Amino acid sequence: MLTHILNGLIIGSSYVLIASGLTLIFGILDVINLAHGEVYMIGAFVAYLAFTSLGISFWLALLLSMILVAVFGVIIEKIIFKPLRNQTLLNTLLVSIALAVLLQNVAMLLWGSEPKLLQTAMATQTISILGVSLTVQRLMVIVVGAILIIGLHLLIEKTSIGKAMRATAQDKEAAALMGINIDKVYTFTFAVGCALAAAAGSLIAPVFLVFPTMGFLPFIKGFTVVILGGLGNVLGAIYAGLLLGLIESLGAVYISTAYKDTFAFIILILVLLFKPSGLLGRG
Amino acid sequence: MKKLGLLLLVMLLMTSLVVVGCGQGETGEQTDKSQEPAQSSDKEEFKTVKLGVIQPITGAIAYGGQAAANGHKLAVKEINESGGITVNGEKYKIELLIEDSKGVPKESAAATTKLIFNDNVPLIMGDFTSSSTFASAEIANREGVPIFSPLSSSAKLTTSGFEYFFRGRVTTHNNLDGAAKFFADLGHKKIAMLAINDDWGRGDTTLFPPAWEKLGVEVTVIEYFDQGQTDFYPVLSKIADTKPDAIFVTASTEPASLIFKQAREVAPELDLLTSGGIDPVKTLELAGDAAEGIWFWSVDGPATPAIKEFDKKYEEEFGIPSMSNAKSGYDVAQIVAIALEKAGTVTDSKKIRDALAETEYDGYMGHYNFDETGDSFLKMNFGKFENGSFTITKGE
Repeated sequence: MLTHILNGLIIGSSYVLIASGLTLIFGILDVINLAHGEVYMIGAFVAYLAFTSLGISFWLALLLSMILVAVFGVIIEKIIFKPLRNQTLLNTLLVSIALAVLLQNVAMLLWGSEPKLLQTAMATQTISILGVSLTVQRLMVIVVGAILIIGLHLLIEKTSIGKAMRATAQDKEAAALMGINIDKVYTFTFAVGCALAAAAGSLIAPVFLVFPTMGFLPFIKGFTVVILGGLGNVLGAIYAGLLLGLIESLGAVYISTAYKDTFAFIILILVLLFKPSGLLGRG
Repeated sequence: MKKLGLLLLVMLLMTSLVVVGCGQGETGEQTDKSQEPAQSSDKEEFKTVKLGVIQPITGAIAYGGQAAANGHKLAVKEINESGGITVNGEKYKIELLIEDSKGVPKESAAATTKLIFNDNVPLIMGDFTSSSTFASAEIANREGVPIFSPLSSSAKLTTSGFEYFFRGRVTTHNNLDGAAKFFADLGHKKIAMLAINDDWGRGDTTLFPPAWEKLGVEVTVIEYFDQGQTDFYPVLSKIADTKPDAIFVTASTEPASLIFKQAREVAPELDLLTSGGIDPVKTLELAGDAAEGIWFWSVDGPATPAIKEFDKKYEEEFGIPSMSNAKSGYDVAQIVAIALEKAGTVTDSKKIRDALAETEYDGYMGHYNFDETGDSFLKMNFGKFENGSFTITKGE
């Protein structure tokens, strides 16, 4: 039983990382970035390439991936989402779909559709926690995930840019009137969201394989978590992410493994039907 | 309320994204014409016979599909360069029309229809997964066009009354007793099964348990997974709870490698056995140390000098390592060439079908012959991963 809970928490942590970035971007920029899964995928590839070609340590590769993808996020935000800022949500949505397909295919062209293995030492070292054995790598998903989320929380609550972000999320016209540079807030938020997705991809990469279409399913899960936790609600994303991970893991064991991925879809439909503002409401 | 409507619209768009995503980012068919221009030094006039090929050239299982198509291409190149085939006194070169099924039965069916009605091919070679081949075979059989699969092993294909279907692949059902006994003899009394949720996976889970029961081996649980799955931790934890001695995995290279790695973490005390879906070279690359000690059912036999020569030739031609699917593709194309000559026609599909039914051939993958259902009797071999490499032993 403990194994299954732990499995759920681990996969849930990756969902939290993806979802928190996504929800942050929605809450502040009013943009639903359907290419977020591909950002996760690129994060994994950058980490893989850095680790295997440059021979640096996994942690450095993770850091490098977060930084490079954040920069990539800044570029995307400036080129694609900024010009569309006054468009309807639908238009930015469509553009992000196109971006997703583009990134997937570029990845396929550059790196091939064959899965790659990011072999870290941690992925084969096992430790025992309360009688359950798991690899250090998987444990790190929870640990590093938690560190990043705490960092995010501190960023939002304690720093001045965080304050600016909160103000913009509440009412962007008023925030602009107060002298907050909305452009800077938007770009910064987008970068942070992408960095979180890249972290998720890099942490997960040694556990599963790295391939161009790897971002699709995690994105759906992440999106479900965002809806479940409330659009723009980071705390909601944390609870909902872990909850989804647990539901999937326990559901797979006690109900049916063949339907493991459908739980997310069922939840998505139920939430949209009965409580569309999410379990914890909007952020 | 407006935001709710918007959210529902988002869901609709996400559904369309699922459809796009399932196409694995590639749309449209890819037609590759492997054509040999009449570069022969003699002044003879060559006619051309076009043969259809359906394989997943893109998509989740592209690696294996491309290998088979390459095998066909290599054989056809050699045939054309050494004078083509002589059918009823006339000389022909072979041209392959290659259609991409992407590993999706719906696409296979579409490709089959195109090849038969647009291109009027007298014969089709394809597909890879039994589910895709089944979709193609239904159409080809109805239209009286022989369809010859180099890779599909499901029993369903030869028990559905497809007069025009032939297979050139080793099967579970024709090797069952030998295979069941082999794995049972390794000493396991309780085996759990983890199989992909399609015709091939369900074939294994239907055939092995009764055979094992007769040998005194208990199957503790049977679990399935879907194509594209990467997180096997929950299902492996569930399997480990039933306390087997070993897990028998029916999966192709990529999912199998992940299963091996994750199983070593979740239940390191369990042995792992696997069916005939993996390419051992690629599996070693993806699974690394996790592959150590795993016995697998090997489509390839031990590497004879002739096979080594083929592998070298293949790698020179295509720049990638050879694999069993490539040899199957090569053998199948050669058999088709022989059958065409035997039939004495490149247009009469019935005669070609009958000629194929009577053809026997010794290829890189063994001895080919067909019974009245078009089934093959190729023999299964066995392999084991050890010391960072693998060895293959011949089956009985």
